[in-house]
Amino acid sequence: MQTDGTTGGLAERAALAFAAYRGGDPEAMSDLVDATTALLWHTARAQGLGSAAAEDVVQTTWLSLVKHQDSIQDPLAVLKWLTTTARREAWAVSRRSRREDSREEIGDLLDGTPAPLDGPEQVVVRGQDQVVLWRHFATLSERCQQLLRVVALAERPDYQHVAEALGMPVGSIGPTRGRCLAKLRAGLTNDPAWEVAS
Amino acid sequence: MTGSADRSHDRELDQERDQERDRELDRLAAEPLDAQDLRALATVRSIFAASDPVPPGLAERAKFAMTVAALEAEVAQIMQTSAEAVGVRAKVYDRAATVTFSTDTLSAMITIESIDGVHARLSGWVSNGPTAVELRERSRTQSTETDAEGRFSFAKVERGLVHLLLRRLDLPDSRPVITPAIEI
Repeated sequence: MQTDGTTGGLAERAALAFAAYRGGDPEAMSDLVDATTALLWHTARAQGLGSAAAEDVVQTTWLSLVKHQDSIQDPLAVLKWLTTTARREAWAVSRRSRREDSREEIGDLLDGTPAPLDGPEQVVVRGQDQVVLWRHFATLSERCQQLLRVVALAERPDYQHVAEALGMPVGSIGPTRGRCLAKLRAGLTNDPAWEVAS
Repeated sequence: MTGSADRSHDRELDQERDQERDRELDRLAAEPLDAQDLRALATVRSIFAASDPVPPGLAERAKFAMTVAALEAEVAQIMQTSAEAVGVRAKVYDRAATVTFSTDTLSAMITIESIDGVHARLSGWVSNGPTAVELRERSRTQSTETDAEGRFSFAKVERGLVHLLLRRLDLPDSRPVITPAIEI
């Protein structure tokens, strides 16, 4: 099992583009943005931000990379750097906007976990697999839902990278399930509807 | 129906079941990903991709913001755009358009004339002094400089979104100017 991310996934693709950009190829940045913007978007949205705020977080993250690019020693760390920056920024924005929205809800602020804006009723589920999966997904804790939503965007080799960037280490030897995915799996395994769909 | 001894026995059984479930979860958590996990993650991905798609143009807007930041450029304001309708028999691509834009340090006008369905000629005029002009297309960059009258042109530009980057040669310390995306 490899743990350094050199497995041909998004982390490596991002690293190559970033290294090329720093090496003087301005167009390489375009590849990096194309490859990872969806991940950053869902990182921000998973924190419960509205569309406009999430867009701002993505932009801020990229501008921050332009500014701090020299501080990233190892190009392989760039994906983690981006997701970490986006998550922190989203968290800060979400905290700020909640303070403005509801000065009363101190309890929520202390809790630090913003409620997702999109309840299940706004999520489109179509097809057997999606319906069955959503039923189990919706029972997971908010943290697990946030994690899996973002991790699902990464390709397999990046599972660990992304989960770690989200502040949720998932095992020391290569990509393992971690507890969030294990919970989801346990639910699905016991659901005949999921097996039928396979 | 049930006596208190039975109830406490039930509680113990519940506790054991919970602990057993917890151990089982730990075991599952430490296992490597398998095909069913990938199927579950792919399904999560498909749900969110459909429910909450990335806004169109977000990546392009991010790239523009990064270019502006990296060059410490000033973004020109588009003052006026006009598309001159040509004859009745005109096809969509038979059009010429002019775009005027300006900043504090310069103002410029460009004209776009179509050559064929995929290419256009771009010519322009900068009002202040000699200027280096860079045309940033999707996957390449062309450069030129204004002539003595302030004119410049690019003979063949692929249709799509482009940016112009202008640097005043007579004021080397001034910030470069970049235009918002212009559709050719």
